Order: sequence, then C-alpha cells, then structure tokens
Amino acid sequence: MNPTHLQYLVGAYVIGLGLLLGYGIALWAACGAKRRRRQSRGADQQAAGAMDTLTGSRQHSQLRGQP
Amino acid sequence: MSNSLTTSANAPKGFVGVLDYTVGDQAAPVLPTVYWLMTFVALAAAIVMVFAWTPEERSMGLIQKIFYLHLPVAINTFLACLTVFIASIGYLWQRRLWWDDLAAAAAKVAVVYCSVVLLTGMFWARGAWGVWWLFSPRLTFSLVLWFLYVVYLLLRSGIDSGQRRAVIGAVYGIIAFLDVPLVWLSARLMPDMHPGHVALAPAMTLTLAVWFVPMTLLAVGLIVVRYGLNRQITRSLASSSSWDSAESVATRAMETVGGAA
Repeated sequence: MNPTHLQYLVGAYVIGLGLLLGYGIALWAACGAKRRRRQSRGADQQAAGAMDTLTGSRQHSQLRGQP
Repeated sequence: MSNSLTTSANAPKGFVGVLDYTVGDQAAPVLPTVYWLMTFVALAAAIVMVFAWTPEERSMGLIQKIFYLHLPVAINTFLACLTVFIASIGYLWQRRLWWDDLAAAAAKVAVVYCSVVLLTGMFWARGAWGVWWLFSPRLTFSLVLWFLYVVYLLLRSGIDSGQRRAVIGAVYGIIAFLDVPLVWLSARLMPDMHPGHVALAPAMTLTLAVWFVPMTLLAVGLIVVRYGLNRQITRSLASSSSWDSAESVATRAMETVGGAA
C-alpha cells in the first residue's frame, strides 16, 4: 500500500464530501434562520393586531362616555 | 388557478395586474426525514464499500478509488446543469419565476458539485500522473464549466430587477449548457489523459453503482431545499413589492381625484 496514495485518497474523500455536506449544512442553517425570522414576524404581526383591536375598543368606549 | 402575485394572503385586494411579473403558485417543497436518512445510510454504506471491500485496481493501485466519488459527482454536475438548461427554457416559455428559482438552485448545486469534481480530479492526477493539473481537453472544458456557472451566479447577484435577472439568467443558462457536451465528448473525440471507456471488475461496478445512490439523492435534495429557500425569498420580495405598487397606485388615484376636484 502506497502511503502517499492513501493520503491523496483520504484527502480527496474528506475534501469532496466535506464540501458537499458543508454546503448542505449551510443550506439547512439558512432555512432554519429564514423559518425563525418568518415565525417572529408572524408573532409581531399578531401582537400588533391585538394592540390595534384593544386601542380601537378603548376609543370606541371613550366615544360612548364609558371608562 | 391564478398565478398572479396578488393572490397571496398578504397582497391587497383589487390590484391584480399591478406587478410586472408573475411569481407562480408552486409551494416550496419539503423533503421527508426518511429521504435524508436514506441518503446518509447509502453514503455510509458506500464509504465502507470503498475502503473495506472493493479491491485495488492493478495498475493505479489505491489512488483509483477516488473514481467512485469522482464519476457520480461528475454525472450529477451534468444533471444539475441540465436542470438549469430546462428551467431556463421553461422560464423563457412561461415567464413564471418559479422556473428561475429552480434554475438558480440547480446552478448553485452545479457549482458545488463541479468544485468537488475538479478537486477530487486534482488529487487523482497528483497520485496517478504526478501533477496537480494538466490542460488536457476534458480538464480544460471542466474548468470552463465551473467558471461558466460561477459567472452565472455572479451575474444574477448583480441584477436587482427580478424579471430582468430571470431573462438574462435564462439566456445565459441555455448558452452555458453548451459546454456540457464538450466535457462529455472531449475524452472520446480528442486525445486526452482520461480514458474514453472504462472496463471494471464486478465488485468495482457494484461499488460505483452504490455511490451513484447517495450522490444523486444528495444532489436532488440540495436542489429541492435551495429551490424552497429561493421560493420563500421570491415570495417575500414579491409581497413587499406588491404593497409598494399598491401604495403607488393608491397615491396616483388620490392625486387624480384631487386634481379633478
């Protein structure tokens, strides 16, 4: 067994598969970040909607002379 | 089923046709966990086969085992390039942005796969021929292929308008594919260090066949995931631009009403 050939063989597999799997992991992380951003945006919108409803009902009550 | 942007839940009602392009209504696909499990099991089996079971080739010895990674990745590079080509034709034919998203996803995977082909080929060349690189026809055309798809991605990143980027990308994607037959045929039609045809022992053929499974599953999976991400980005951009367009139409309408009054 030629040790230099073994080094090249292992090097080729480590670099080749490392690049493929590394790209896969980077993509998976990007998808996760995108999902988290979307979820937090959705939660913000829900909170804003709830606040609008609350503010609207208070204004309506004040117009009717109620506390 | 309408393909207009304004069919999305966020879009304002009554502004159909405001936008200058259509996004399409294809949902971002999601691959099941079992798909990825199969890919990694097949990859583990393929690695074990190469290092523990497949016999060494007589003339080249151990270094020939790079072939089991090199060839399936090369074939999948061609398939990714073919996907870019088909998606580019699809976009020019139908003008739906999901074709463009698919082309961009496949081009990214093509660049990653082509990089692996070049790197593994360099290790093999160093072990077998004693040099890291040779400007033989197949190696040169492979390097040109890598550059073509890197330029494709750079070109896309430099264009802001979605429709313009898609049209230019589609035309470029069709032209770039012309290099694939050159890579394929170069070793057969021109004198090259690569053999035109390879005869393998049954055990080697089986290992090669097993390596095609994880490499193809991984390529398809990466394209699908990247496509899904591209779809989400396109949709979010389209939804914000639809609000901008709606606002500008509303402003123009108010100005017209104000002017008439």
